[in-house]
Amino acid sequence: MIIEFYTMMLLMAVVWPLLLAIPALQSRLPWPRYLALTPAVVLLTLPNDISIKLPWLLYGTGFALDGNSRWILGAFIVIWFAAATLTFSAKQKPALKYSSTFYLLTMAGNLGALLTTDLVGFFVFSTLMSYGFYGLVIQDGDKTFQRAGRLYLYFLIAADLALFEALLLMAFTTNNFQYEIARQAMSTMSASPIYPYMVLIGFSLKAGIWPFYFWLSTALHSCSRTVALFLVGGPITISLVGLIRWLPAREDIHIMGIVMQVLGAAAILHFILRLFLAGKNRFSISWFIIASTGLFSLVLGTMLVNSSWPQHAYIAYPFIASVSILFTIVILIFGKNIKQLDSPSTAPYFITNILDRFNTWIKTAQQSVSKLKHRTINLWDNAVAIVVRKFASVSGDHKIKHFVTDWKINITLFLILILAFAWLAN
Amino acid sequence: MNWNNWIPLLVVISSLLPGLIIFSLAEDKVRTRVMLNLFGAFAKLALVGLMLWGVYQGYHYETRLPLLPNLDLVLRAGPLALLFVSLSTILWLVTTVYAIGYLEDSPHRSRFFGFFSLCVTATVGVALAGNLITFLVFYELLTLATYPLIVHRGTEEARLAGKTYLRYTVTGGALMLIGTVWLYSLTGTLEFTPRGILSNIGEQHYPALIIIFVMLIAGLGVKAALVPLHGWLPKAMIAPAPVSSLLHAVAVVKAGAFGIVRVVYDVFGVEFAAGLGVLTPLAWLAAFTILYGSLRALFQDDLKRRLAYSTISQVSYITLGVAIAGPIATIGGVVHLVHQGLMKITLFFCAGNLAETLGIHKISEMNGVGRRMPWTMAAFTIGAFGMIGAPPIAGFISKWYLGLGALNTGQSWVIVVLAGSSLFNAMYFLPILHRAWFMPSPESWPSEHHFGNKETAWALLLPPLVTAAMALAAGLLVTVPFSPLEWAKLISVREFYQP
Repeated sequence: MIIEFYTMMLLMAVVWPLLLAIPALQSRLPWPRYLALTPAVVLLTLPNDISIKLPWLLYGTGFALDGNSRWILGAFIVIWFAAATLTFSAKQKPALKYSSTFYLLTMAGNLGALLTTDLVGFFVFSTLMSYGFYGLVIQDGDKTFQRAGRLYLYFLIAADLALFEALLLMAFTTNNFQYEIARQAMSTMSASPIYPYMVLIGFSLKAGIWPFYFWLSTALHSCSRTVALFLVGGPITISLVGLIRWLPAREDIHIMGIVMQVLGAAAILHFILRLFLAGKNRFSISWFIIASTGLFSLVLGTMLVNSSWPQHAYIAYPFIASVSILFTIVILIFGKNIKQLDSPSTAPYFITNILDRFNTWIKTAQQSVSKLKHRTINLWDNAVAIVVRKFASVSGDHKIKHFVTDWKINITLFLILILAFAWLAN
Repeated sequence: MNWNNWIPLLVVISSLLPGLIIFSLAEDKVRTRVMLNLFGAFAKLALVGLMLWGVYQGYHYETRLPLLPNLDLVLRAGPLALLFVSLSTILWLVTTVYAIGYLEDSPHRSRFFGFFSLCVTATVGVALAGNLITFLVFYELLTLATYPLIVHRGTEEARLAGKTYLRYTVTGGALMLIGTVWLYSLTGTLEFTPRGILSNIGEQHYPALIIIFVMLIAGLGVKAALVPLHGWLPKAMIAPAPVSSLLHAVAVVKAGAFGIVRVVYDVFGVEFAAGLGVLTPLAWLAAFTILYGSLRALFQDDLKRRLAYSTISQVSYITLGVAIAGPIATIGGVVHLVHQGLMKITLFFCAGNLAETLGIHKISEMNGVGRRMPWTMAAFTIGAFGMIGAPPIAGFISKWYLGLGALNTGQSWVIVVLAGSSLFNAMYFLPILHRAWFMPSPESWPSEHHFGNKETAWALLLPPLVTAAMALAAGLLVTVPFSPLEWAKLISVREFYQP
């Protein structure tokens, strides 16, 4: 009976916030943000591992809570409880009408990604979390928020494309997407060697691992304390968990390990330099986050080089959980002045400029193609008009002019067909 | 001939008969017209449900009526036909409800609903056609039945759009007719057969077969809006929203794409067509159309035009899936026939709601509309995310199988096309969502109608919510029996693995 109750709680930990995200239901219940967290809190009291299979959902997914996930779940509960408390007394602006919906969608995605037992489920829930989080970043609507959100979105789309490619490569090798089975399948040398790199790029973009950190400082500068908490608890933590769960243990993965070591070392160096060069009393939370993800990258890279991966993967979970809680405390204490502490990075301007130029370039290319098309059509029209004039003057039948003008597309197609025939006959 | 043999014909008649009666109804006979429409839609649904169950149990449904010497009018319910018929039938019911709400108090409703029913009759005929000549008859009927719907508003712009539509489709139809006659002269049969009808044909006919293939694909490509035969589709957006939904999700565009599937699988046969070397150019053309449509969609401010270019892009996924010529890509292409229909009809319903309720036609007018019409925009959001390929909505499943199919057949370039298309989809859909949900609302809307405390009329709101829910369910419940994916798998098995 107790097991059934906890199994129900396992399912409800994800489904309940999703249901509460519906505005009509949310407005009828007291404290929906705390209420949504209840099944997850109950779940944490269960001493044993628990799982539920849902073969009818997606490609056959399920939810499970084991010793490793418990660390992260504990951290999430702390973060979401703190966020709920921070937003409890906040006065709602009209622009924030759906902030609770975005909040609860992010929460559902966050918990779902953690508790799901397969890669497709992880991808689905992390996407839900990411777009919910975008809503939270962007909702206030001023220009800095918009820029932060836009930048986050660029990185998110790129990350999702990389992870989608990784999933396809995995599906090409195995049709069982459960973490362990998929990992074993992707660890064989017959599996695509690009897969780990796609995983690394995807999750590095999502977690803001150096050198993909640009959006972090802008987002932290732009957002409130609550959103800063979600940032740590949501995209960053879940992406690091994703990296652990998706990475295979191939024999040739040590090359990627070296890459990760270099990235990690660069991130730490970046942090040290920024700390020395910064003025008095001016530091950025984002630097510490970049340093932490850098440290994670360095350690993980070392494990990959030493081939001790994934036997020692379990160490990563308490690390991620403790760092998340540490940042929660930092944000709660110092976060009131988060905008003064975090200066927005200038790098995002560079990125958005490139993307704006790309957009302009596409527009110009499209206009050029359109012009070329119209010129070709005009040339053809003129040629047809000359032929028609000649024909009309010879035959004396002027109706043909209107006919040809009205049906020129069809006549053109017919002529192309005759040419095709002639070409094939030869 | 037993009772089962009449069921495919009854499915066709279930919309033809109400349509013919509706033509004769006076404008003020609203209730009779609504009853006839709904009776036809529900009767068709029941009959299709019966056939689905029957085919699942192994029954065979075929109506064969003499048409020409040695050529019969054949209606047959196989898995592929039923996939398309089910889609058309379900979406017809939803679109009928929507059209009843949308056209309330507008003139010429009997004419509209009469042709609307004829249009669905033709679509169902196209779907159930058991040979190429039956297909052609209904395909041309579809052209003729759709024209009055496009020009329904009677404006100069509508008439011009209709004229363009006719020029394109009549030419396409003529090409198809020539191709069909030529094919018959070579093979002596036009029956749709798994793995095609050309396995015994001599090599000396291969050049002719290439021309026939090009003619058939060009004829079908007009309706499937393959570039450069797509010009009529953005212009046809002048038609009322239910017609746009019908064109893009239920009937015309789908009939073209479905025809391509039929020609490749059941006339030429995938392996034979691949051996003939015609599938690779078709795949390239589909890939080009996918990227071109997305690129053009990026720069449209008119919401329906943006959706029209999106259709040009999205429908070519079906052609791409077929042209990749592998069992997994086939699943992706065929299932997208249904998935694209569900997602695109949702988007068009929402566009219609915005136009009808607030007078919004342009994307630049959509600021803050999510707060004014949250349910409509929630449905639009699901449709848009599905189009982007975000999980777990139906579009994700299509892209998954297309990508996997490409890897399976060693055509990795398709992945680049899919990624590029997803990127463009995100670039032209996410700004709409951003405007709707996060930008401040204007002080007044272009032309606002009030519906009490509801955001819009129930008849307009329910259809997009139902189709959005279906698009979501098609993505979430992919492995349950009777899901579009399971049917697509059945079709793929029949095409590639059954002896």
